[in-house]
Amino acid sequence: MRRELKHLASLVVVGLATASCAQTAAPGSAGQPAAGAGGGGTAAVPDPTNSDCQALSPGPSPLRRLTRFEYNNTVADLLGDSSAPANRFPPEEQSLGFDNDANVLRVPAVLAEGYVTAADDLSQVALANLASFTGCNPADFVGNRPAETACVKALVTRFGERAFRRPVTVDEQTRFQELFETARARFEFRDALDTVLQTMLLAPQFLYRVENGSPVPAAPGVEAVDEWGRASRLSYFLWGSMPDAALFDAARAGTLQTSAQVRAQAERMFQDPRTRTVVGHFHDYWLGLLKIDGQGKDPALFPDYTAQIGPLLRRQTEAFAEYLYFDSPGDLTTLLTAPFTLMNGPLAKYFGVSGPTGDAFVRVELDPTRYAGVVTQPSILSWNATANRTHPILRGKFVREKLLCSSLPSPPNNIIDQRDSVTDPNATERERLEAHRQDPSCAGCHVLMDPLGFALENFDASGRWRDLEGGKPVNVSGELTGTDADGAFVGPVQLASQLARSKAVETCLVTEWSRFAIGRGETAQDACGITKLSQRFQSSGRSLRELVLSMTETDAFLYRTPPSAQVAISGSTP
Amino acid sequence: MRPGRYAVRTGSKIRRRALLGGALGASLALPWLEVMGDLKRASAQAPVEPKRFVTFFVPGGYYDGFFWPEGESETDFKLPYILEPLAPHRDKLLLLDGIEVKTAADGFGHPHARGMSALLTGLPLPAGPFDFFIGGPAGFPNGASLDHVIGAQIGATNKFKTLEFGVLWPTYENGALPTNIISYSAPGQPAPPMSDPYEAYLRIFTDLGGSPEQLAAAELRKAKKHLVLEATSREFGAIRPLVGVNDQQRLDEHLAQLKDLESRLDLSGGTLSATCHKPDPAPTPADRINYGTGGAVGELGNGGLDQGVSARMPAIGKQMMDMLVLSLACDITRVATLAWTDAASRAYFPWLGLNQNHHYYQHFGSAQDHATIFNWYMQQLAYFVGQLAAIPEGDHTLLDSTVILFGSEISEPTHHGRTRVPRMLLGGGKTFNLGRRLKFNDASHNDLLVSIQNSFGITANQFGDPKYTTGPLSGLV
Repeated sequence: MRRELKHLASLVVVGLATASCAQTAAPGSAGQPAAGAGGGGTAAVPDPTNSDCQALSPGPSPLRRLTRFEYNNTVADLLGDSSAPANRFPPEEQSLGFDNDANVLRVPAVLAEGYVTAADDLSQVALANLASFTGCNPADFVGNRPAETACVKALVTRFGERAFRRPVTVDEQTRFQELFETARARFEFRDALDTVLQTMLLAPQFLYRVENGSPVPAAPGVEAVDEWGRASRLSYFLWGSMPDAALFDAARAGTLQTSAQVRAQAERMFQDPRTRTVVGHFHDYWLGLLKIDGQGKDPALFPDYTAQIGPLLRRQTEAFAEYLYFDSPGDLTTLLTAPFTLMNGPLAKYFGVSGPTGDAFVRVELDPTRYAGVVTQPSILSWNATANRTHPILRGKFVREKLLCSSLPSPPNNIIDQRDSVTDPNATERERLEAHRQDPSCAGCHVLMDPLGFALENFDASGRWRDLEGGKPVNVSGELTGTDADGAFVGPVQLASQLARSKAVETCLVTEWSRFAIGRGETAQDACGITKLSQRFQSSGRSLRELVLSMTETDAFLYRTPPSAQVAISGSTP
Repeated sequence: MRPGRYAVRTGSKIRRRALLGGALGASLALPWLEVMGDLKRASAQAPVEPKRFVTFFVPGGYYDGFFWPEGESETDFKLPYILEPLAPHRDKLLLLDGIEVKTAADGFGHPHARGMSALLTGLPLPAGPFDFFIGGPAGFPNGASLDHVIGAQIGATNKFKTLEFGVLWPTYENGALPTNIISYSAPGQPAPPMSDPYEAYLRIFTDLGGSPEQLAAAELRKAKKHLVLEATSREFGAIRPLVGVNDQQRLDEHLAQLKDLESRLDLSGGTLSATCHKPDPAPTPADRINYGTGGAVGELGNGGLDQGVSARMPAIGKQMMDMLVLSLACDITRVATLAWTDAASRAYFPWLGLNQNHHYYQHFGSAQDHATIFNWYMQQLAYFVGQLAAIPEGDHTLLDSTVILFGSEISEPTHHGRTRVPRMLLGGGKTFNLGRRLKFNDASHNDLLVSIQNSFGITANQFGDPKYTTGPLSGLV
């Protein structure tokens, strides 16, 4: 009884709800980049000084720090160490869903300490075999100081170039030589070398992507990122790791000067399995798939949703994406409407599908009247639900925010979930949300979310198909509003096909990849770049492969705003 | 407050520190507090100076009627259900009924985020990149938290100025957020908690004890690390001019952490004694929490921590509390926080016979079930207080020289209340006049923070947002 009174109180509060959804509805339909949620993306208004999109416009170029994913991959490539030491670092601060937003990553004490511990551990492993690591055989000359110095000097040159992803400077060579000599005066050869190696692994040249650039005569205030920097931009975007020998060779040979040369490298790199991993990583963060791993379901309702299922569902969506980007001529329409998915043996068993056995994921045809692309992926349906029931609001919010890149205003403070205030225990989720439609102060925003979620009510809280909810046929009719593909629909397949018609969805995917590629939210200066990418995407028949590759040809990828022009962000948070 | 008393104490602290600087690591077989025990304290009546500060954070608030004692008497009251586990320590606690987190009325972010962030910063949240279901996108508070301010004041000779312990961190994979951080080392700089018992063990107790060979190896590592960190600083100096102003600030922040680390390399990681030892049993790699990619977050009942991990909460909590107690007993740190989980916690409590997560009970479940969870947390607080009380320190106990601030981010959970928030002080010897329940009329939480900082010799009359600070709370001492 006490609870009901509270609900009534909250209804009063709801009266304060913003009516602002009408103005802040889905992004425009003219290929305008969407404003991202969370204040990071503000590109809705294009740069007035570049209205014809002729001027180079790289946008802000904040210093990027290696993420845990990138750190692990980098030390694997640099040292052959697959121990994934960054798994012990604290997780990245996230903005716009991604782990690599340079503007929000900080270095708390536990991370600084983590770097120090990891450098120490990595160095001990690397130096366990001195001859193989140094390339000279210290057993032959330890004690012969000139020979020691020569060995270390050669090592700093060779290893330093790979660790810093560009040739070491004369000053750096001098500093590391001095460090070695200082240490050697006190320690054995190996321990002195240890100090050099640990320092390299703690240096900002290693942990951050420090770049150099040169002025572009025709574009004041813009610099071309030098070829070493471009090699790293390519490798971290497409592989989440340091450049390989071919990229270093290209940088050294000066063959990363034109966008065509960069593109050619990107095409080569795209063939490498590491890009598959990155595409999976992108989807993990774009679609929020990591959230599913720890989510349990009510065992009374979903007894076979064991602890293994969540991670398998995540892997399924990654595999579906990888199939589209790499193993088929995948395009956006297929991503949104595919009547197939990928499954492995355990998942096929879970879904009662025959065919796949074993752990490898293979293509499985689905009922095209039920399944259509990414919105019907069980991973997404499952994490946008609670342990025991579906959640049309969350599912609708997901479609708005992740597929349409809309920014939904926050509900008023002190609002509470009123679904349980519906007294009929047999009420469907749809019926429980009826108040949203009745109350105009709720309807303004919820009309953008709830109806999209209703279309997905054919999928229960664990992501499996259902025709009935509490014995009643599920009502899956709804309407898409505030977009360039408005219209009524019935069920998930019709919703998906409407989304597939929307240019806003197209621009949204471009925007999400752009955020991931350049490591920050978009600004007004990125509007031209995103428009060009969208045009390119359209003219390629919305090829997903082309979308990724064309990211490497943008102004934001090839150029930078020089450090001297970085605009100070006021306040204490950079 | 009595400023003169602490001014006098400051002098003795400096002498003690100078002494330590000379004798460090050489021959202190006992925790220095025993050796250096103030002779004036020989009389059991003499006030015990607060030397340690612990914050004990429990999420989720309480339903009316379950937390505060009824009646008006300061000393004659009955502990209600939630607080019953603290009955054995009744004379060591000071209940503060009627504190309001006034800053939560301002700024951005979900009420859970506002309350959690304000607990130790006394600040509202600025607009920022972290999106919330309600309350608007928020950033981190623009100020250091009280534990870090006090740590800077009293932790100069300790291996760690502060330690942040967590038990479960359900939103781990979403990174630091205003809903999962209570400690800030600097404005906008979260100090995330250690949330894995084995990692915490490695970090805190590696230097403690060990065979002569291990100690020699540790000395060599330390000597090398000095060179490494000095050389790393040079690299930061060389790179700094190559990046823009915001990035310089980022590098400066990073470098400051390294310099702090270097300055602490030679500080004692504790000396084995009757009261200072390694955790027994020590956490092992099997105790790791594989947050991996786990730890779901969403809103309103969406997501949750893997129930298997949640089921380990009592065991992990005990490990973390025991390590916290030992790090105080060994004087490895004097300031620590223990955050049981995030605000709006998705932790499950299967051992209590409850099959939904904490946040569910905050909005949908029965008030009694919700109180059952909080009562369990109070059992943990009682255990923690009991452990501190069991460690002798001269003529008193570790508890007597430790000020414990207990808090939750909200009061009434359904509406995320910000008045009458759960607040109490425990321990702290004669610093505060204990064994009482005080009633305030929506006194500012910031004033409580001022009272605490004053007790550690920081005389400023203000903490956090000056708009909501009037000076120390009356009647605590």
